[in-house]
Amino acid sequence: MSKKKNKKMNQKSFYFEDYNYYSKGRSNNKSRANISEDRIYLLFFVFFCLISIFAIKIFATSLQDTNFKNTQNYYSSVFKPLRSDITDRNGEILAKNVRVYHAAIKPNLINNKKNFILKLQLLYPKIDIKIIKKNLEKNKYFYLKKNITEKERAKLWSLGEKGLLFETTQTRIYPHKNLFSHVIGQTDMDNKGISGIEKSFNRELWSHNKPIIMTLDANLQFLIREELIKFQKIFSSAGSAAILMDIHNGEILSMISLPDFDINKRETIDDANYINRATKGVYELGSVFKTFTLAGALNEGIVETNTEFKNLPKNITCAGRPIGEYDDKIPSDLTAEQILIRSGNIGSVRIAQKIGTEKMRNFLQNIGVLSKIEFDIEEVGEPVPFRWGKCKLATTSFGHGITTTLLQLAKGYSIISNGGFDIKPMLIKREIKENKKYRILNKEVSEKINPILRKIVSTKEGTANFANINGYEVGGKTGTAQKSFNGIYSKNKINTFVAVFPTSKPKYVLSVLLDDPQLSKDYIYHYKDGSGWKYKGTPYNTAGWTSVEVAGKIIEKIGPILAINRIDFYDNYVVKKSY
Amino acid sequence: MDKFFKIENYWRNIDKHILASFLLLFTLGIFFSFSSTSFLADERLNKGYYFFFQKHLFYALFSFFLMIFVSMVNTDLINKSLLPIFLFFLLLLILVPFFGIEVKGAKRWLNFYVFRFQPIEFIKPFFILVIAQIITSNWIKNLNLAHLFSFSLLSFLILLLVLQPDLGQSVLLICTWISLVFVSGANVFYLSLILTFAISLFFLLLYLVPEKFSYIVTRLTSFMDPEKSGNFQSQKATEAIKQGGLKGQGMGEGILKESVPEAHTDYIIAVVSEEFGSVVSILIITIFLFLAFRIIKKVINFSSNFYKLSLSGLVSLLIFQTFIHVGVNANLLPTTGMTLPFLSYGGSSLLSSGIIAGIILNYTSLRERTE
Repeated sequence: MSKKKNKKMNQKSFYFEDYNYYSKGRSNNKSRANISEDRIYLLFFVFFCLISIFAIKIFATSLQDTNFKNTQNYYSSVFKPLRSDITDRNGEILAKNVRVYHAAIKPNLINNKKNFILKLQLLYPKIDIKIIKKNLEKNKYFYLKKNITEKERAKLWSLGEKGLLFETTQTRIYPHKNLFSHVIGQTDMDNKGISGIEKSFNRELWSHNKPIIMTLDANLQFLIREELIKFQKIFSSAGSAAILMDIHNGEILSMISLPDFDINKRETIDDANYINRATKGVYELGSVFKTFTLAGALNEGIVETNTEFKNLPKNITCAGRPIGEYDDKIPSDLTAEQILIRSGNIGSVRIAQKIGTEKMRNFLQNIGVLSKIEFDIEEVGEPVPFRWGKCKLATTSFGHGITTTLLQLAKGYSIISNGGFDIKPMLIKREIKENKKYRILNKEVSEKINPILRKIVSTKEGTANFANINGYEVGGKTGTAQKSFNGIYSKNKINTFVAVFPTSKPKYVLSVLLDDPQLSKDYIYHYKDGSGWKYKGTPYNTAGWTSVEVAGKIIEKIGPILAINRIDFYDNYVVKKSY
Repeated sequence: MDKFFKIENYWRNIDKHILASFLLLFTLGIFFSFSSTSFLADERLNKGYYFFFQKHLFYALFSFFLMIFVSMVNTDLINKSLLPIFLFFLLLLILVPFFGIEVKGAKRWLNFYVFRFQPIEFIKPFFILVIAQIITSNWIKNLNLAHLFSFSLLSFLILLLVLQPDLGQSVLLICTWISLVFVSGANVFYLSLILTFAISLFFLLLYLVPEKFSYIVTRLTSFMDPEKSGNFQSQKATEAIKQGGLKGQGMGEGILKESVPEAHTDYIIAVVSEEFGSVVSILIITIFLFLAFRIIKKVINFSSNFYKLSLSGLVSLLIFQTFIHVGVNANLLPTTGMTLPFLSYGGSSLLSSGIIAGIILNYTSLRERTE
């Protein structure tokens, strides 16, 4: 250890010098046990093993045959849709992802830009050359055309330009264009749903490989939309809507709102007229609520169908506001049934007063017309909340001062007609267990109401004779209400008709809403009472002359399909011709 | 001059095998970068063909000269400055959660405008050396206490890493620390005890703060269940290795880099396998193994505990990093972004490799005879 003190450099060999150097450091460590060489060897052995295993794995992997299928996948990536399909109840495709391309240009790879522009012009004479020139000069990657098909890609490819690239991507197409626009909704460029089913079922559409099956029927949807469009023109209405629903399980077979739009175009719709009138629009619906009033009273056992109401005045006032009748010829003595058939306002008020505020509110709440409904799409309107009082009770009895959506109206009628079972309207097919049915109204309510609804359509006193389509036992109730803007009633009308058919064993509810229909001079009405009478021109723009006629035409068109597609319907409900 | 550098007999003292290995690795890195990143720069970033290559070339050359420089510096000077440098980088690492920039969901970089700086890459070698100093010096008398102290230092680092989050580097540091402590003669029982504690803490964290660590869970589950689509990168890497076969598709012919982001950093072995064949990949792995062998052969001859320990630690660092990188590429380990030292693209990684190589060369050039 004496060498330690010798610090003179250059005097000894470097061996010594270095030795001194580090023996100094080492001497400090003397107190601690020397590091075991075995452990170092062991460490190296572990390294060796680990690395060897991985090397062998890589070697083995490289010796594996490349699976042809995998190679395919690897090089051209077999098309895997980002979103699953949406189909109607019969498997008809309503939405599907397809492969498309974005044609992009990389300016620095194009040698002869003039020549390239010329070639492009030959291919697309209408293309805006100025923008392309500008982009070419910027020398940045840009898109020439987005969402082009395989065919178009081949065309562009044949230009033989190195700087023309194709990004493979996918887009969602809707073969039925406008037909389901309000229900299915739209997707954005990134294949994310932004409205309708596309939005509310976005996660399922992303993750599932199986298509989402809707309760809708494309054929029915088509026919109903055709009729609605036809009458939209005849009555020059601002918009219209229709819902066809199975009253037993809430499956919606058709849901249409006009005007609609082509969802393939992916336009931003901000015009309020494109609102979904079936679910989002919240309206005062008028006399259609009288059915609820009577049903509520029947459910409570307060009145019977033949309970008489005598000396009904033609006018009453509530809080200074007059309540009158539509029909001046309405008798002063009516039974409860007649009040509904003749659509008496004062009579309905009397029935409601018998029920009382609390029970009336509970009844409307139970059948689901008072508060926002839970539904398969997010575009659902919220009924305007209000404070119950004596006058509210009176106006509510005939559907004024109370708002709801067409969907909720259909739901309410379904519950009243299906034997009193609660239902949940739905657009997506779900398994419903029969034993899970939950009764909220007495059974007798349907038994009593359905014949009355039928009488509204079938008897002269009723307001909906034009919907009396032979063979379908149509029943229903009309509603004509003035649209109110901020509490002030306007001249604009909402005409509604809710049809339930066939009334002897109800199966479907069809509700039709016309937003502000006008009188038509040329339309010819055919009387359905067997007289063969015709009537030209619309005398009043009330539901009886507009929405009832529309509903009748719709039932005439879709009736056979409902019967053909469902044998039990044909067997049980359709009245066969007797020879 | 001699105080700072050891020019004299430099060439004679240096371990030529180790130097040659490092040189070979740097060269291969530059070559692979040339062949495989030009596509990326062109297609993805619309930059010049040689954008990545030029950067890589610059950093690789810089790292190489850094290595030579470090290997020349007087060893005493290095040993004295270890702690200050370590503390400096530690400070930078602490700054990352506050001033770091986020890239693809992880906050690991400090932005110095000219370049992005990843402190953990630089802290690694100094962490090992400082720990080696702590364990071998008489500063803490009890060996177990010294280990415990180094463990707390490690825990602090891991905590900082987990915040980023950077699972790969955490695992790397833990593995290196374990081998270091193991070599230093730790009681295997205590070691396993601490290990069990750490693992249970890890799972506890997974359970307690799921939103921060959910990505770890998804990666682990996707690793366990390869059918799941989350395993995209490793699937592509496996396909690439298969595609390459023994001889490879040819230079520039690989397409893994087209479909996998970060292929030029995290999947360099797969890229090389695809283009040049698995034989070349195995050759690269063998170089690392040879390096480890040469260094450990040297270590055995040292009598100084510090050099034994620090060289073992640095070798462990290199080998474990290679191990994790290759494991991820071969789909034997869950996906984590780990660069391959000397070869992967990335300034911080390359410079760190240069420093490690420099220190290894410096230490192995010491002439010391066993008594």
